[in-house]
Amino acid sequence: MIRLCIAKDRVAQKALYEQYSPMAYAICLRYLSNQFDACDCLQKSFIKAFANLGQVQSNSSLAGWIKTVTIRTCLDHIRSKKQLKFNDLDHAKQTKDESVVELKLSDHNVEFDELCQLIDLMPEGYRTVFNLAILDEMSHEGIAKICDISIGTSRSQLFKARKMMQALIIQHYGQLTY
Amino acid sequence: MSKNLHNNEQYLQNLSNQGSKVPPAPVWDQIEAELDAGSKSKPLLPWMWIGGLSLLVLTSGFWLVNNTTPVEESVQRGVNQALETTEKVLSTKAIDNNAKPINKKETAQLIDANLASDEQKTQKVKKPQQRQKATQPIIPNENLPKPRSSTKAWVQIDENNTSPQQTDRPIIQQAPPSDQIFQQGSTAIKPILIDKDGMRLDEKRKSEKSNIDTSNSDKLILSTGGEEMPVGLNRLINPFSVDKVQPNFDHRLIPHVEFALDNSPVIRQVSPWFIEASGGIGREVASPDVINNTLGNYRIDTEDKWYAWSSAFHIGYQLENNWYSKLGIEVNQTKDKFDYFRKDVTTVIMDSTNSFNHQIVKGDEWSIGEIRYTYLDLSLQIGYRQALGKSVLSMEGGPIFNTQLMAQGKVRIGDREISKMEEQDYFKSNIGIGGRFSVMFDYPLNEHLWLSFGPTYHQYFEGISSESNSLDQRSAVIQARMRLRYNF
Repeated sequence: MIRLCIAKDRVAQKALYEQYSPMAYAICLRYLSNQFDACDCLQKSFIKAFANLGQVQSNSSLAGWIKTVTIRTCLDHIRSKKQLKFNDLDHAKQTKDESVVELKLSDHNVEFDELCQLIDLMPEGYRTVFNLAILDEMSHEGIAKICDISIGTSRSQLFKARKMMQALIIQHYGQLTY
Repeated sequence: MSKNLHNNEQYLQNLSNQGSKVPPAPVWDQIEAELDAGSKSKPLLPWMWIGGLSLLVLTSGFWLVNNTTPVEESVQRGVNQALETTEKVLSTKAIDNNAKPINKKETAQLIDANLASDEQKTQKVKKPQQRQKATQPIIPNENLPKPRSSTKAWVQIDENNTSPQQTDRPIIQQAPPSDQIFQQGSTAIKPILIDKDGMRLDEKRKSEKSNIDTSNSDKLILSTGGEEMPVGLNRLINPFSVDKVQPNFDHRLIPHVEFALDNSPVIRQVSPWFIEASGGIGREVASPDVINNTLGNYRIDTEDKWYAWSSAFHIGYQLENNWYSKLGIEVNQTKDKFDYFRKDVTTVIMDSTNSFNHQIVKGDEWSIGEIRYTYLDLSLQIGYRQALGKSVLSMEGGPIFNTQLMAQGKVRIGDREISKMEEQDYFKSNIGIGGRFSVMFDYPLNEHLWLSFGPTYHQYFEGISSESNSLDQRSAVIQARMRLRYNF
């Protein structure tokens, strides 16, 4: 299929799109705050992917490669709109551990849409680092490089993002338990 | 707590990895349309247009300058034809070893007699363009008669028959024979244009007064015939070779055509060092990739062409061959007036005192504002100055390094009014890179001062860091500039 796509076979390109676009669109929705931007990024990601498909060694690595292309496109999009800001103000400093009620998300059958809504509620910087570090399992070194920030900033942003996510989870699902 | 947090994150991670969402159908249509468009030829980038235009201007300028030599086309054709004929004859003809040099005085008298008797035949040869009076006559020998009219006379001399032959076409004089030259089997063929005062036209150009120093302008001459010898003979060498022309009175009647490479006169400067102050006003064109979005409705009704003005200061050094380089700084300002619309945006307004008091606002968002950006450019330029009459055409280009000095203005996002641009990332202090090209017409005010006008084009590329780009909304600036150059 890769070979056919490189040869600009439109049927093969559409098949590849149909296979991987749900995964890529989910990534776009996680990183971007609205579906218009997500669609835009999905479109750009696949244009880039079709243009550079020759870099892919095998079918097995295709999914990971498309994921990487999509994440990078989302970050470029955020940057181009000057939304990406890593605020060092400690908004979550007053949140204390003892004030947080313990809660298991697994008890609440949370769906992907709800995850996106939760992530959307975070500021852009928090959301980006949370996505990269927790959901896409990227190292702080990688995040620092891709976001052009220091490793320390990445760590502190993640710390605050995790706090905020926990707070948001409790805010949304806490009432169900108690 | 931390274990619970970790479990929740693990759960979110699994959810994320399993998550899939079918995108809307129009997305594929858009991709397909873009793939189709991509296979067609892409339009030329602005900088390619500018490059092509600069090349055209450069070529036209060079052509114009090189065609200022007042040589009539008919004369040139005739001379070339005569040259070919003479070369052919001389190459096949055995030269008489007993031939003697012709007496200079006799030759002159013969020529004069023929000039008087048969002037009509020479009328086909057009009169060379009149120029200013020459400063140095090249016929020091007073015994030689002066030409009687501005009509050029063409006389051919054969070494076996000393009486000159009048012809109805431009005639090449075979210079008076010399034993030395004949022994070498060479001959003299070199047309020179002379006006009615007996002045060589190439010499006359030197007498023009301007800041263009033509004193060395005959250093390089593409000769049609050969090298002129001090004895009045021309040694036949490779046509179109680069020769040095030396004045020689024996060449008075020898037609000579120069395809001049001597029209790049040195532009006279009091000192090679100069300083420049310049200012410009124009428009900045933002990148369409940034402004337009096929799916989102953001940034509608936005001016994508912004006013831009700048002032610059440079210090430079000009070489004798008219090349120069200069280094300087330039302060640019652009005004961005925007009306920015985003659909379904979620904004969290943070409460710094209590993280649970975040205000979460969802919905469409309008951003209206006017921001004045100030940039500082460091530019290194390399240029070339080409004389155009008494003025000069300067062409220059080179890299620029760019950073944002400040962003001032007011922005209203929904109900919030923002006056500190840093809050919304309108201000960034990254370094960017670009290029600057300009074509200026320089007019000398006096020996120190030059006033210049012309267009300037700035093309800004990606920021140096691929991960951060402060220039993503200012891709190109086109300005009309005025410049004052002072030569020390």
